[in-house]
Amino acid sequence: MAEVFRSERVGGEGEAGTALVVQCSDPRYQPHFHDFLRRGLKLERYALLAVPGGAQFLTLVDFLPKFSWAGWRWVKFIGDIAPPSRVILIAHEDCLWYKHVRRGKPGELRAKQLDDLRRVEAGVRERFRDVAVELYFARLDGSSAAFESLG
Amino acid sequence: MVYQEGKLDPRVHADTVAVLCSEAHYQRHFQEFLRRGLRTEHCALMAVPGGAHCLTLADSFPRFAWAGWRWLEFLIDQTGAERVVLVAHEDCRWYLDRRFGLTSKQVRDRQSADLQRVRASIKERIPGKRVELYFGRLEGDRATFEVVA
Repeated sequence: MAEVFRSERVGGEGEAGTALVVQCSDPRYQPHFHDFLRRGLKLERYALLAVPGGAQFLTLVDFLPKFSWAGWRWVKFIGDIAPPSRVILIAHEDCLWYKHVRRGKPGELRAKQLDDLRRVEAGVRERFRDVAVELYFARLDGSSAAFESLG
Repeated sequence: MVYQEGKLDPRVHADTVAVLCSEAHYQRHFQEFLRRGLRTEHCALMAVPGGAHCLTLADSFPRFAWAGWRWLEFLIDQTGAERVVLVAHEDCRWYLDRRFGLTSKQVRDRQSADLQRVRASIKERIPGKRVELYFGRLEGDRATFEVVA
């Protein structure tokens, strides 16, 4: 790499409001997440929380409370800078963190992931007024990925 | 690579784990920097306010550090990544938060010191990894990234 890297211009043609995206760290999904946010949801700017398991860390109040404590403080910090008008929570198939922390059969894990997304959605709505919360579930499909809206 | 019941799982390999800030204005630039600037092929991403700063808070805010280190170690362990990239950026509002008591003039030096501290900690906790440090700044609708020595 050159000593200084200069990025391309970022256009302003997309979403103008403030968005917060919470997604998983999984390397298989990063290009797909980025493409989905930019082209699928037309987000030009968004605050990002990306950790293993995605939004799940915000649900661990009883089980692993340090994750939840840190997570909601980070969400509050982001919201204090610019209250999000839109919060996007993305889970995905075959999540290693869920396998690691939760263990269980694939069908059970998916149900748990969806339940966790709903719980975080409720937590976000408690904290931010007039926020649109969107839930998505992604799965790899060959070299591309499909994103299912969960409403 | 991931071991599952004694077998390597090649699906989840990453060459790099990147630790970045959550700041909205930088996300597109971070992505481009990782992809084109650093030529990462498979990159696991950890993004929280202040980026790697959370990994320095074991004494003052231990729950941030506890969570951050567990995530980072999990990602390195599960993906087999040999390279860790830590990126800080100018005007980081997390660093300017009152809880840390820093003035805007102090922040840049603190960020550099924190990146170096985290690099030392990673090398101590997870030997054998290459740790690279970068600092980004916005220039209009672009961003530049330079190496932190």
